[in-house]
Amino acid sequence: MFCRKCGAANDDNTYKCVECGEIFQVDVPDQPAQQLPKVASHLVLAIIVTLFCCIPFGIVSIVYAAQVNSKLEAGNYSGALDCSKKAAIWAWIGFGIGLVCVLIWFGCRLIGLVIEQQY
Amino acid sequence: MLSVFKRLIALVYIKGGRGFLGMLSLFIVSSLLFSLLFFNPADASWCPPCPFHYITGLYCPGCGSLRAVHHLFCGSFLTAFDLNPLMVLFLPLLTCIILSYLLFILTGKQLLSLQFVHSGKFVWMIFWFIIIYWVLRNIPCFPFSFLVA
Repeated sequence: MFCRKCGAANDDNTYKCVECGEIFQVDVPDQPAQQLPKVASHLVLAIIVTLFCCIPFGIVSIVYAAQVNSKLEAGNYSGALDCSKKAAIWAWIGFGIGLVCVLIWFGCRLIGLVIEQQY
Repeated sequence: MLSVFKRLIALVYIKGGRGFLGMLSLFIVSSLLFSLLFFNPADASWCPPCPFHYITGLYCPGCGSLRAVHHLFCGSFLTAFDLNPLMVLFLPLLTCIILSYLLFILTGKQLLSLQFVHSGKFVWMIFWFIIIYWVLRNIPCFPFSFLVA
């Protein structure tokens, strides 16, 4: 999290800013309803991989992204963290395989061009 | 202005350089998308095909999205919608989510709160939307042939 006074990066559960000493208010008195803790669901990454990498692993990533929010709403924080990690991993697997396919495609074309020139 | 700059610097260095990787990949992806302004992937023979379509002969949910982005850049909205309607529908949503992230990172305040996007129900809806679209665009008869890229 960032200090709202000087903008320095701080650890998420620190009480005071490491740069300027600004005290972060831990409990907000006029908002008694507890807020859900935030866990990244990597939804954007999953959708981008599904639409642009053409590899269906993006779909798996979306399934995990959905579970992140479902579990968070049910109060299962550790489960949500686990799913968040899996969503990221599957999205990057899809991205990696897509990248490898593109590289193989270019490699094959290059070899084809070289062979064409020799004969 | 100075605090915005500090936030950017902090973003690059937090989490052991992962912020830096994120910024780098964002830059690479956006510059690749920007290059679609200058050529049509359908005309360029060097442009790699969709691996899923190449191997199975079926259309994946993303088939035609690069061509669709090219036509969006050229202003032919209808051609883009014809090539990949899902991509054209999702683009404003993705832009909104990324914009809300960027605004939060730069200002530290939730200026654009997208509560519904982060609910489990909404993400499941997106999931079923993509799956149904995937199945429908592979049905080779009249009303669904519009979905073919």
